[in-house]
Amino acid sequence: MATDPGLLELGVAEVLAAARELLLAEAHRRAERSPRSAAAGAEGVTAPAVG
Amino acid sequence: MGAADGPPVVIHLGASSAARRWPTDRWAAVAGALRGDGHRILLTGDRSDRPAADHVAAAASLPPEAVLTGRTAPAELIAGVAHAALVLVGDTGVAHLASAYGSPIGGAVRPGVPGAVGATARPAPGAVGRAAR
Repeated sequence: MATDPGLLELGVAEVLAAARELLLAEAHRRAERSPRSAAAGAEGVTAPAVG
Repeated sequence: MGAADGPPVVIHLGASSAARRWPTDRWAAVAGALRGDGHRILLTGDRSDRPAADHVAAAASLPPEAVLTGRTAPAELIAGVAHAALVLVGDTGVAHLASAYGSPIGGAVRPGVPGAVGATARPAPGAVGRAAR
């Protein structure tokens, strides 16, 4: 069975862009939920930017 | 950019229907780019997907331990998907599994929806999807 034409229209760049967008959002989400961030938030301290 | 020691990007190559499989060379390009970003990549699928996984791993310069295809028990696959930073998948049951755990999902399309990216329980159009945690 041949690959669905809709799949073939989907390019690497599109999937890669979506993947990077999701990974960035997930990294932010995990950082916000980390104990260090929670502690900093409780103390009213903003964690320094890294990298 | 990525985290080589962080939660992995799981790429599930398989699908029950060949029509639902994205071309292996494209998966390889995506895997290689994300590896280049510094992400840890894991390939999953059943034993029938192993040749495709080996091809992707070679083309993307992934280490042998990245290829879990055909080597995971169902519980291990579930755990891997549940803890992944991202699940890239075709239109297959694993997409629904990732959705159930609220893992970010990308890279899949539903046949007949040209250009759509993202597999999610929600039928919303757009490039990405995530189930509610």
